[in-house]
Amino acid sequence: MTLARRWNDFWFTPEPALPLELCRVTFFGGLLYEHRAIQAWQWGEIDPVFWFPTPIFRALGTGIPSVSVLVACTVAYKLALLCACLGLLTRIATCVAFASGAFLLAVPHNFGKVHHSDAMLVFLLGALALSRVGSHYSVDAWLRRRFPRFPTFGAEPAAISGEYRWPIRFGWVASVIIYFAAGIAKLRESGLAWATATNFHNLLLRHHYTHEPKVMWGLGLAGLPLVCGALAKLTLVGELSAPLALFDVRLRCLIVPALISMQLGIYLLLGVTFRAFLLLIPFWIPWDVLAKPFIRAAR
Amino acid sequence: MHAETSHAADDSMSPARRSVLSAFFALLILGHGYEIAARSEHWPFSNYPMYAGLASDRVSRKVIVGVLPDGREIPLEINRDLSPFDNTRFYSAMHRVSAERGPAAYAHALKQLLLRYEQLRVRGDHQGPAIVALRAYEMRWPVLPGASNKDHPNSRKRLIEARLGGAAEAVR
Repeated sequence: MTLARRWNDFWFTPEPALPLELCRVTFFGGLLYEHRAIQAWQWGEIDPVFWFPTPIFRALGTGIPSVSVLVACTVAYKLALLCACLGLLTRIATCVAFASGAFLLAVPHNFGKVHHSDAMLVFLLGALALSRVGSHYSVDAWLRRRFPRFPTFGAEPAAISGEYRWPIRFGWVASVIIYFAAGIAKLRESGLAWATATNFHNLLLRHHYTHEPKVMWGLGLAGLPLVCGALAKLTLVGELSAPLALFDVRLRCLIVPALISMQLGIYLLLGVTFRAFLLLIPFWIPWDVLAKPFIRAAR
Repeated sequence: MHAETSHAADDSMSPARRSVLSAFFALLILGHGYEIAARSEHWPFSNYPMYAGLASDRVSRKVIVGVLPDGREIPLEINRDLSPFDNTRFYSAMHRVSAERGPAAYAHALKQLLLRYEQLRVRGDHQGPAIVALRAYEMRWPVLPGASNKDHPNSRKRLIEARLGGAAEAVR
């Protein structure tokens, strides 16, 4: 099989719409919850002495956006997230969510530090703006059934289509990039010494001085060198093997839960939440398998 | 996890559509590939260097305190009291102002932070008391079993101070 064929099969093999639509509801709903109190407009009040524009903003040549622009963007963003979650005017909502969301997420990175915690959300918002999400199981679909002249905005419903597969695969690839890159960074920065019990011991304890871990178990675990060594090695192996989850269903069943558990462990033991990463989890959920009994019952 | 399907790629999608989408996928993969190779970050691309360095057995932490009119110090929470700055961004921003814009800009930045605290307090965004100065300290500890010494740092060094109506001062 040629590489082009493999590429096409990976991204565009036809699938039913339900898994993607459930990803839509959980991703946009989760984002709306996560950003319910977003305060991006406050950056408009900050003195220009703190303004260090990123290459994108330097190219645009804009200074600090005004409070009114940031407020307008925030309102548009939240409305768009709500509409996208419900599937109301979905094509427009996903495009507005991408444009306003990318802008609002980008602004804080111009104030002294570029941080990667929310960067992948921009790509996910972009992917869903390009997708045909919302053609089924949405307010749009309901309106189209009641009012046949209700516009489809180019998202013609189909029983199965590659359009319903690639956004989910995009979510997979985005997640894998994060963890694989993190594993490579550890190897390049620290080598195999990263996976030693000593390093993990220090990592567990240090956060009790600088953060507020949710549980105190880390203090006890740090006293168990064998456990520390095993957890350190599992972390590194889990991150570096993340790409295998893209291609093998059995490895996926092993690697993805392991990485989600690692994220939970970081939250509980270190007190650090990469909350934006959690929004990628819905793309890994086997919605088709979970929904099968309900679909059968509905018939 | 998702079951693998044996269907062929969807022929109902036009080649042009597939090409545009493939270019988008390639941008995601190659953009991040570049950042990983170059160990750089150009938001929204990143090499995700989370906890990549070795964790040493010594730890330091910077804290910001407000100074009350009677001279007492109260701890401030950056996320709340100097919003929209957060812990991650605040110290990095201060370092960059100092390193890239010089002492005058640094002093100006400190004064702006003090004014920001006051602006948020007057607006009711936080419930902190009125303060007359802002100070930053760096605390250092050796990492001990059970983090038993976390409330007793080995050293506490004043880094910066800004006063309302007075000159801002950086302690080096």
